[in-house]
Amino acid sequence: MIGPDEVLPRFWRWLRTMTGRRRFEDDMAAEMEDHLERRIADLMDREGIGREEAARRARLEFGSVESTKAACRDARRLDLLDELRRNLGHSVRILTRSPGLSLAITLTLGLGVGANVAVFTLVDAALLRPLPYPEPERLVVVERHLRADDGTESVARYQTGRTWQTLSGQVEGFDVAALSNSASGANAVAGGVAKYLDQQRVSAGFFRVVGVDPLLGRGFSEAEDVPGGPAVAVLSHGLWLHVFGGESDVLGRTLQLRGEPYEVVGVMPAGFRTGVEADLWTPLRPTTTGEGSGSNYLLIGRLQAGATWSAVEAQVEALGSARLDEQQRSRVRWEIEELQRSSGRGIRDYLFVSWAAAWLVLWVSCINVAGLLLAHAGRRAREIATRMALGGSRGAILRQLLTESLVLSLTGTAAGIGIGIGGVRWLSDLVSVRLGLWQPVQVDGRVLVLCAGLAILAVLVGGLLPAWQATRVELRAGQGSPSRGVLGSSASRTRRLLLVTQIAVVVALLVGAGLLARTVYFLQSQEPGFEPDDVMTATVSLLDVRYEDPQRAARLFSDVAERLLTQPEIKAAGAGLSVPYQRPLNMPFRFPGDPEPRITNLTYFSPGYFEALEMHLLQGRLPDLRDGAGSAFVAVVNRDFVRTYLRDREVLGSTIRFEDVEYRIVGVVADTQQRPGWGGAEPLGSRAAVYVPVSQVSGEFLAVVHRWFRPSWVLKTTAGPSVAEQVGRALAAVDPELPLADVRTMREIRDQALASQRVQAGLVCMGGALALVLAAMGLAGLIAASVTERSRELGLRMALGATTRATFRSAVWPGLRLAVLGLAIGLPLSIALVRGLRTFLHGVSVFDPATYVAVAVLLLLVATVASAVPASRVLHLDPSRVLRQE
Amino acid sequence: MAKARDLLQGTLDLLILKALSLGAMHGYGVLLRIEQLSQDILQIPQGSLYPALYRLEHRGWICSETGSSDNNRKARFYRLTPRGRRQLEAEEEQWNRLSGAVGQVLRATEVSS
Repeated sequence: MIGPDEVLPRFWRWLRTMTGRRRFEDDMAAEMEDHLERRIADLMDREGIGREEAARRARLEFGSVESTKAACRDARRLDLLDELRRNLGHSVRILTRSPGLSLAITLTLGLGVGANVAVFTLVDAALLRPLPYPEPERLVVVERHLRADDGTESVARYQTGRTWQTLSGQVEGFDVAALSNSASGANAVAGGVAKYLDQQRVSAGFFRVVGVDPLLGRGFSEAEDVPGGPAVAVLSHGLWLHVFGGESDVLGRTLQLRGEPYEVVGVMPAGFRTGVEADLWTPLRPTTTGEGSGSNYLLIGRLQAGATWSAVEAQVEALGSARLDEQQRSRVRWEIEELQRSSGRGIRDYLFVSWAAAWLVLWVSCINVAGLLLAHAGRRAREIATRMALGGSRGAILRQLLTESLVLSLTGTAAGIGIGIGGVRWLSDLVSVRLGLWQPVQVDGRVLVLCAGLAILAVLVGGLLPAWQATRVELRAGQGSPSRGVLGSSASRTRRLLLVTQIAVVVALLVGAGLLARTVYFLQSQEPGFEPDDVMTATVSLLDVRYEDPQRAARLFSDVAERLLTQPEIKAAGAGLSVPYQRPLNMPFRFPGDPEPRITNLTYFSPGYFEALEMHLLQGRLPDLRDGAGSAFVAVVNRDFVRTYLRDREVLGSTIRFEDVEYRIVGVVADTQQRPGWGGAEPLGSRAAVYVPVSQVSGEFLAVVHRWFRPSWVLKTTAGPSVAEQVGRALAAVDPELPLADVRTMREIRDQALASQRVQAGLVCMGGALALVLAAMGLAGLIAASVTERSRELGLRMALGATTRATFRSAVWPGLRLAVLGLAIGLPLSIALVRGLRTFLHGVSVFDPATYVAVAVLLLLVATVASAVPASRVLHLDPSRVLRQE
Repeated sequence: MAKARDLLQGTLDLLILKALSLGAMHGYGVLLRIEQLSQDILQIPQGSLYPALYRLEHRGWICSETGSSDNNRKARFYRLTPRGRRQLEAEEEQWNRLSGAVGQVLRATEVSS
């Protein structure tokens, strides 16, 4: 017997012989030649005979050289190789002879493998592949864990300027840097060309921390990374090539960024990227006021050689909580987390759900392939029985059948790679903006290794079982009448079992898909609080020194709105810092006498904003042009604000204070749907919100918020996307230096807000639909085969007086029985599986009865059609012909 | 018939291992050595020698390398591997037990008849 320790070396020797086949043959021939020569010499020596006679006797003694060689090849199991080559040829012939089957299997496997390739590529980029920096496992993010009253914990990945000040350079063995949480678009003029660029701000030492040296020049110094520091920039490799032609004298040259000259001090190497796609980097210039007063900095650090994880974490925790009081300390915990794990925090679960769905689809497609091959083997039972009767060994036939499924799985995998690459492109367009990946989404060697694994799995799952079954045919049955069921009853039992499993998996997938789809539907159909139809938004960056003056900003908004309103199809126009379905600014505020600040969303607006959105005024009035810098400061709040903070107080006339500016509440509007940044995990909802006129905010406020928010005009118009041209013209007429506006419909903004949910629900629904179609095909195939097998019995029944209707029913019934059985297993299975989905569901329970009923009805309906179509062949059955065949 | 062939094959393997345990040599040398050691009683069919050598090598009991021999001709030399040595010991012991047992049976028969 071969011990397990011997399998690999033996296989290795076999492979070496196989790859060096020609050498093996040459050596073998030489060896036997040598043997004969020695024998001849011996014989001549010993017996004193002539060379010719000696040669004759030597050959006689040795026997046939060729059959000895064949025996030697067999000893090395080279016969397997030759057989494989023969089997491959045979398989290709067989498969091209039934192109329908081959195509069906290739497509089925292709979809299963393709879904896995696409989702795995995303999972790989987001969670698995090490980040493209030296020693990525020592790169960490400083995180703040907050425990709420109800015991749930949330993680804040962005920190305040004060935290940055506390940690920077203070933790032993920990080199830490800060960066802004997103790239901002900026108009730039470089090398005489105007371009729209993505700019990211990073602190001094950032490039050192990630461990990538600039290709040319240097990163930022401490002296440059202070408010009011020199304007310097580091270029991405792409920007350097495209704008500066890749010239090495680029250092010291300037480019205009938002009207300000920046000196180029460095160029990063090709392929360098951070969590956002940036064209250039400028110093962060961190502060503890304004931007730095909120949690807006990502702190990433590198554990230096010799520093241990726990020592660094303990120091971060000690420094971070030093500023907190006793009560806060019990709720806040500081931790460090690997950069990749930290970046994947928001999406890991979404991706794993999609991945699980992709696996289930692959599983279903393998089962389907097994079913198809089983049926195919059934039709070939005669051929197989004949071969076995003629003495073909079972192993050889098994190997032949497995070779066929190997060929099929290879074509299927090839199709899958194609489908997967297309899917990856589609998926990464859909999600890359939202994922914040630190490396590109790309199909690479790891994916190909995965594919190889999947192909082998497909052969094993899809091919082994049918091949095993096929070689168990009874010899005599195969030789008998062709109309009889030659496939043993155990084979068709296996097929039914496979189908029931398949249906159960399909049910689970469909239930998951249904719940996720209902979540998206629920989120999309929540009362928006405004009239979303016929609303266009035009967004523009105002990160510009000139618009730090609130009056100038207010004039820009109203001048552009006025020009737009001259167009007859534009009914209303106004502007605001954010629009519904976006994530608004959140700001601390106080009521007079409050010791602790509270939190609310804050949006500035210009006249026309509420009119264009048709937001419902519930109480009081809306501010208009008369409420300017010179008059009393006024604010509008939404209903949730009243519910949260003013429950037992007079609303109108109350005052609220942001930093040191006081506003009087003059009106209450309905709640609109927003992406909440605080207080809960649902992707869309309404939160306390305050709206103030843009003419009544401070210049410092504008300078800060325009760094991360791009205000939008909102237009009530029937013109649709064609309004973009008019917006562009109006903007250019008022301020030709402003970048082009980004024009979108309100619906697009909503869809963007729900991108993760939509991607997830879309993928799982597609998987479910795919699996359902596959199961239907499997069922139809099974019924078709059973009608063929039972045609004699059914014909007899009809001849004995059964009605066509009854016969038809008896042909359909087995299919329905399987579907019901699959449902009976699948429904409890899905209850067990969808528990894992709980955190993704909003507005629908895990046990939502409507979803389960809908899935059951859909499945039975599809099963009925899938069984009835092949069963209808019964209607054309001619009893007299069936009887004559007997 | 089949059983006899199996026995023969197992015995041939044992003989080859034994011959090689005395030193590395080429195929023809193995043949000569077995004939010599058995004082020409055992005649190895030359055609079955090489398949046996290849099989033993495939199993990892012997290994081969090309070297130059006595008359400056290139030849393939076989050598026992450590695994082969252990196998030889095991087979030798089994053989001795078996032949001992067979001998006992034969002697018993002689006495009773």
